[in-house]
Amino acid sequence: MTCRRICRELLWQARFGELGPGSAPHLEHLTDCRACRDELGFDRALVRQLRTALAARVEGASPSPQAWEGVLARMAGPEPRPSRLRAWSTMLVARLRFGSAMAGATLAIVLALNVEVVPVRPSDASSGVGPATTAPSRPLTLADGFPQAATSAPYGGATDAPPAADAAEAPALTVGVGNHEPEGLPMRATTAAAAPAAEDESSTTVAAAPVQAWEPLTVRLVPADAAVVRAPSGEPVSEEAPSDEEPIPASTPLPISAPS
Amino acid sequence: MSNSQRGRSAPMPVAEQHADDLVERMQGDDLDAFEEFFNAYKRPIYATALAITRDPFVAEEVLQDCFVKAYRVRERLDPGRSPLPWLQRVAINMCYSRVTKRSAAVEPLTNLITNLVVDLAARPDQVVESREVLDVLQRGIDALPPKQQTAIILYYLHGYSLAESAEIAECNVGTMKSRLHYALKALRARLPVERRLPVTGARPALRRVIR
Repeated sequence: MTCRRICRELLWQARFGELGPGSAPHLEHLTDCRACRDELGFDRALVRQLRTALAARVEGASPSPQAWEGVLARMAGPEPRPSRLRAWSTMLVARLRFGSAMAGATLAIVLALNVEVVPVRPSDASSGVGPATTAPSRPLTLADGFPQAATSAPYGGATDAPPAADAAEAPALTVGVGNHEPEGLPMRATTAAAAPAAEDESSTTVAAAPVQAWEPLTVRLVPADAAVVRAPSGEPVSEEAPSDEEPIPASTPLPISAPS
Repeated sequence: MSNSQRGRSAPMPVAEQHADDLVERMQGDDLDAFEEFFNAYKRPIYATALAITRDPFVAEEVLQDCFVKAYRVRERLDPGRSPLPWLQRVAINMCYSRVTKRSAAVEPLTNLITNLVVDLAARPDQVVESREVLDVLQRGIDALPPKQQTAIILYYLHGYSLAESAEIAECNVGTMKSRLHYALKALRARLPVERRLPVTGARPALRRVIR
């Protein structure tokens, strides 16, 4: 042990009354080290002076004989009500704490599940283009009983596919956040009118334009392991290859690039 | 140096102070029991308040408010435990809420009087020297963060054990040690350099310890 460390441990033990059999090496060192003796001696002197200084603050002081009468007088007075400002600030602090805790917990869950947020257009999700996951991504509508924004499809029960199929095909969580539609706009009517038009090959782009204008934006929480990679041909390729495929040797560089 | 060997300004440690049936009687609206309760605990509470505020008037206000609060929440006091840690905690909080309200740390009048009166029995050089060090330490104590100030008051002034001090300060023993360590470090840094190494008398004492 270094002299400095011995000195620090010795100071700690001496201050808090923890000198014992284990302190023998320290005390042995002390006999030969003048610097450590000085250090310890000063610490003892400092504590002694500190006690004197503290005692001087309260020396001979005692509450006045009228203290008890003062207590009775204060008890007779009205009980102080907590100020509204204090209550408000306490409530604000509590809410901020709760919010911070929830944000932290959400972040921890995202990190723990190793997922990343990937914005996906519904057209990509339905056609299989985009992320390798094929989670049903039909955005929730008002008819589902939930607001279109900030709803989670798998947890909101808005998917058409059964949950088992979801789990098998899509480990991703799909969060339909949707483009917020201004209140009063006939979103449902426009979408209903545009849907058959989109299926009709002969439909004009003018008819499809409102659909694009209010196309819901879907955000998926995709496991990072299953992040979409694209082959040189542009086709999306999942790193989660089917099990019957031959595994690629680790030494072979993959001709793929991560999505931006 | 054990806790029992340390100098104690408080008459009794927390563990030895039993509220007996005072709290139970207080809970039965017995005002005499409350007066006994007040007389039993007023000194350590007043000492804490005075050590923090350094103002007898403020300290007495804190004392009274502390006991009024104790009576108002008497139903929540646990008769099986000493109320002293709770009282100390309330008093400390009240002190710091008052200290921070005061805009500037005005030196109490009593301190000025004390500084003007010199003990003629002591040698003038010793008086000046010790007063200088004590003055530096007093200012250093005032400048400490509240948690460290509380730690040294509980441990070095009242003589509570580390566990008792930690209970009052609502922290663990390791944290209490750390606060004491940093408080001493800060106080030491305030002393003039030439006053930081008074080693006289340290060696014989340590020799005795080793033997």
